[in-house]
Amino acid sequence: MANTKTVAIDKSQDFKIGLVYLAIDILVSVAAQLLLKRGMMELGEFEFSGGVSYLLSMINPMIIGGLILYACGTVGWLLCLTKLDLSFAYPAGTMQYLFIFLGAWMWFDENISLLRIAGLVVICIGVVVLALDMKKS
Amino acid sequence: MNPHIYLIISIVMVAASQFLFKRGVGILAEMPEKENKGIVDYVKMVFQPHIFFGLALNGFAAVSWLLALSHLELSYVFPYLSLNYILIPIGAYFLFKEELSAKKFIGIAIICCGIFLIALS
Repeated sequence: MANTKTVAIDKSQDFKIGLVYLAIDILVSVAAQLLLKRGMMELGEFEFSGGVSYLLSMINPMIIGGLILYACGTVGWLLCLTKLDLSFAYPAGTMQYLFIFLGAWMWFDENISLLRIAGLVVICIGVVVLALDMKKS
Repeated sequence: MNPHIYLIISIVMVAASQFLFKRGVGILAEMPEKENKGIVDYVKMVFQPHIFFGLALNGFAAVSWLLALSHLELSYVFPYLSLNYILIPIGAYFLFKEELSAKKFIGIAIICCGIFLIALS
C-alpha cells in the first residue's frame, strides 16, 4: 500500500513539472510563429530552390529570433515528453491555436472569418474527444 | 508551386520527428539513471541517433514552413498543424502498438471536418 502511494505522489509531481514545461512550450512556440510570420512578411513570397545563398537570403532578425524560439519550444516539448504522455500533451497544446488567432488578428490584420473560427472550434472539439479516450491510459 | 505542398511536407516531417523523439526518449529512459547530470549528458542526449535525426527533420520542416508562411496567412496555415493529431495516433498505433479505439477514430474524424472548414476559409 505504502509503495503504491509513493508512486502516485511521484506521478503527480511529474505531472506538475510536465505542465510547467508545456506552458513554456506553448508560449515560446506562439511567439516563434508570430515572429516567423512577421519576418516572412518583410521578405515577400518565396519559392523552393536549393542552395545555401538562397537559404541565407531568408535570414533577417525576425526569422533568426523566431527560429531560436522555435528551437527552445522544441526543447520544451522534449522535456515535456519525459514527464507527460504524448496523448495528453498534444490535446493540451491546442491552447496555441487560440493565441495564434489572437496574435494574427491583432498584429497582422488577418481575415479571421466565421468559417475559420468554426473550423478551429471543430478541431478543438475533435482533440478533446481524442483526449477523453486517452485519459484512461 | 502550390504553397499547400510546402505546408504538407512540413507537417509530415514534424509528425515523423515526433515518432523519432518518442523512440529516442524511450531508449534514453532505459539507460541507467545518473544522480547528477552534467552538460555532457545533455549533449549526449541530443546526439542520440533518433533524437538527432528528429531534430534535423524539424530543421527541414522549419524551412518548408517558412515557405508556406510566405504565401499564406498564419491563422490559415497554423490550424493545419492539427493534421498531426491524425497522423500521430495512427502512427503510434503502428509503431508503438498504442491503442486506436473507436473514440479516437471519432476524434480524428471531427478534426478532419475542422481542417476541411479551415481549407474552405
